[in-house]
Amino acid sequence: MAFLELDGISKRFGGIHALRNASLSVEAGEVRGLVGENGSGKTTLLRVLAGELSPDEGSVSVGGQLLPTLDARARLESGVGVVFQEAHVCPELTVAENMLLGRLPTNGGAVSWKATHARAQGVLTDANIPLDSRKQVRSIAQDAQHLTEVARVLARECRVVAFDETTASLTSDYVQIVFDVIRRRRAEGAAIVFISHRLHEVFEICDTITVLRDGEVRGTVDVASSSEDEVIRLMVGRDLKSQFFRESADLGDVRLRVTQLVSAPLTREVSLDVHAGEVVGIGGLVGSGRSELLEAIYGLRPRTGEVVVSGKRVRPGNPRASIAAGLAFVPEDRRSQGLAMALSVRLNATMVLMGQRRLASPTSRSGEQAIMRELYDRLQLKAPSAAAPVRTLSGGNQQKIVLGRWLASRPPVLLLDEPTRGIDVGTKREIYALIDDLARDGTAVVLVSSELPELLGLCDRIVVLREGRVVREFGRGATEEELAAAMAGTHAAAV
Amino acid sequence: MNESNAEAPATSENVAGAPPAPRPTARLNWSDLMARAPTWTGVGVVLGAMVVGLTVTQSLFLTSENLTNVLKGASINLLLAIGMTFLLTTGAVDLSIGSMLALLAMILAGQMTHGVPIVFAVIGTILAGAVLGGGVNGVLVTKAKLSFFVVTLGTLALFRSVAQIPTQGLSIELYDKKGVQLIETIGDGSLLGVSVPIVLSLGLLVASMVVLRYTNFGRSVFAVGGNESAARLAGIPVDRVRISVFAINGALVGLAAVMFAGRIQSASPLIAVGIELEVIAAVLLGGTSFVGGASSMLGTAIGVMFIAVLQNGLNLFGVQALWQGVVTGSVLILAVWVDRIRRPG
Repeated sequence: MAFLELDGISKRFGGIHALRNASLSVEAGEVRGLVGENGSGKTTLLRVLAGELSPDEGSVSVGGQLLPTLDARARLESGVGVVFQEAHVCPELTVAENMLLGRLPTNGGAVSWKATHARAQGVLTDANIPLDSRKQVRSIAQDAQHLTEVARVLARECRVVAFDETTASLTSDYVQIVFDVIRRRRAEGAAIVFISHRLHEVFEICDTITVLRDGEVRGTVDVASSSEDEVIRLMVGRDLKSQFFRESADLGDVRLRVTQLVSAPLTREVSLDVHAGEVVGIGGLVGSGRSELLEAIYGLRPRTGEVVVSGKRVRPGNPRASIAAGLAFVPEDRRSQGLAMALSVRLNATMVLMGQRRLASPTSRSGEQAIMRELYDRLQLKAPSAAAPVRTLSGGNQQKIVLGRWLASRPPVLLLDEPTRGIDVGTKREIYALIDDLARDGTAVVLVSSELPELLGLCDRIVVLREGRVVREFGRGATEEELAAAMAGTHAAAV
Repeated sequence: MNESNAEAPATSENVAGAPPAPRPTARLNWSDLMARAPTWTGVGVVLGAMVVGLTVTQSLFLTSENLTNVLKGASINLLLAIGMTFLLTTGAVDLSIGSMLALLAMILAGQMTHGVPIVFAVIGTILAGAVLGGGVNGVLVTKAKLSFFVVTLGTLALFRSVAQIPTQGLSIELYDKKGVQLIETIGDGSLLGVSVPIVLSLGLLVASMVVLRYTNFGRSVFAVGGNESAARLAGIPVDRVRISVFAINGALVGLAAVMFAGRIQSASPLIAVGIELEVIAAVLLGGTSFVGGASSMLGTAIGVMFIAVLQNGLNLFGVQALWQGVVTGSVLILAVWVDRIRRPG
């Protein structure tokens, strides 16, 4: 019997099988990758492991001991730690308190702050995590907050550690820190489960990979004797080339002209022309000002300089004016900025339409139907019904709604911020094909992405930002190495 | 009109090319049924049980006189609850409605005292309500970016105080004023054998359902409550929606003030103290969510009736007024709790 055993787990939500007799056994000292498209059941499996969700069938055991369902305390005691996709931190508390939550060292009944910080800072320093244990979590950057959770797992000396898309929101420096932590825990004999959409990461850090599809385990492979293509085949159940490549289209007139755009604190003197039919990529590390640039163009941030759409100047400060001028914007975080999660597919899909019509007007049945048809036919949206709350949809289908709500009005300029973040491979390719299609129809697309293959595969031009400035521009045919070097500011690799 | 319920007949509304909704299984699935039932089901069932119980045990309950009184008494609360449902759908609450009602009643009385023609006085009172709601509360919340809780807690004290200044806290008798017949009719009268306040409040209930469901404004109210920043990015004029909702609420408070004054034929700066809590309780009983985005106008009406029938029952059973708060408070907590355990997650 392996150290961590998830045995025959099944879980239904309503009529949908999230997990069907899924088993996972991980040995001590093994790093197991867990991959699958969105909605394949990875996170559900981790929630069962974490004791957040009680399975309809099946059991969880660690070191031969059965863990009761829905008992987080038992997990804590038997050394099970799960780092979830969204940070589970208390923002008002310090890093140290978050790390030692529930087991702060005490001295005669009172919390010993000296021991707390000594302990926490020791763990942080030991793992090379660049955090100050005394800082309030609220005051540190989003990705550093996520590291706090990783540090919590270390402080608890967990023997079973699971990471759910932890690296998705981290810069490459931080990813390396997490990898170091994983390697160290592995050497110390922990059983580790690692979920990521980035297959190259999974291949870098894992020993074995288990593939889930539609809630069932489709196979477990050895990293040494497998390939990304094989894993993708298992994930999607069909052959897909791992790289997407878009042919250039004919360019038209300049649709979007940005001149000397300055927006405090991050965007500095950016000038950019985007033609009809062109896809321009914005690359850069986290903190380079990519998202801020898009937001400034869309008018969400105060700015100086000019933004001209189809020859007309756009005033900042009002999304309605930007939309009227022909800009469309798909924000980075679809949960907080894109969707009303509790509301219906239809309401979310028609938000842009609502914004374009007068408040006092009746709902436009034909307008709504046109959008829904576009979503179902062109974007292949899969939803139980138009009345279903969007939170019941997979991430990929949610993203299709955030994108699809713009299409009916045929905006000349489309600003996309990480349009495929946290989305399964199959849907990603559908979105790539859609972007290609839109460009062919004459849309000018600006694409922010932290995935280099995505930039290289889709864009006619790639603009690299560093500290808010354009530092490099690439045409077709750049390589990942060149791009990465320009983003990091090391010129050596740029051959 | 729960946002999802509002679109409940999904299969018939689905556009061409949409995948058909999954067929319900032949076997009746209890938990599915529970999850799909409207949020006010529990309160509705208990309300039904109360009506049956009172009919059987209290001969006075099922008389047209008693029922008319219950409905008439509930009509002011229903008006206020409609406005509060609009607000809660956007995720806001107006705590100042009791004070606003008293101030608006005094504004009405002031106009009548100074000989303003009664039709203008009534319209003026409703418009003044829209200004106090939208122009004061709404603008402070949206433009000064203050929390609705702070703003309306402030105006709760402020409106009540302003209402007392002109008369040093004394009430104004209206029975001898010109035009009192009109406000008496609005608040207490009947036309062609039907009670005016009941018809007015039910008519506005239906109108508000239509507005929420079939107008761009109504859908925007849901969008703003569901996710304000998503609504803003999509170009929905969030501030205008919020101010409008506060203004609608204020106008309804204005009409309620006219009814109140008409019913007691006087205006006092000390009326309707604490009514906001009763109204919010009724709206929550009806299944509207405190966090915005989900609401049910029908549920609100049921919630208002629930409290009205409960109080009527307590009266008929001769329960002391002092004890009635214990019962209504416990029932509110119980109903919301039942709803919580009914929908896990």
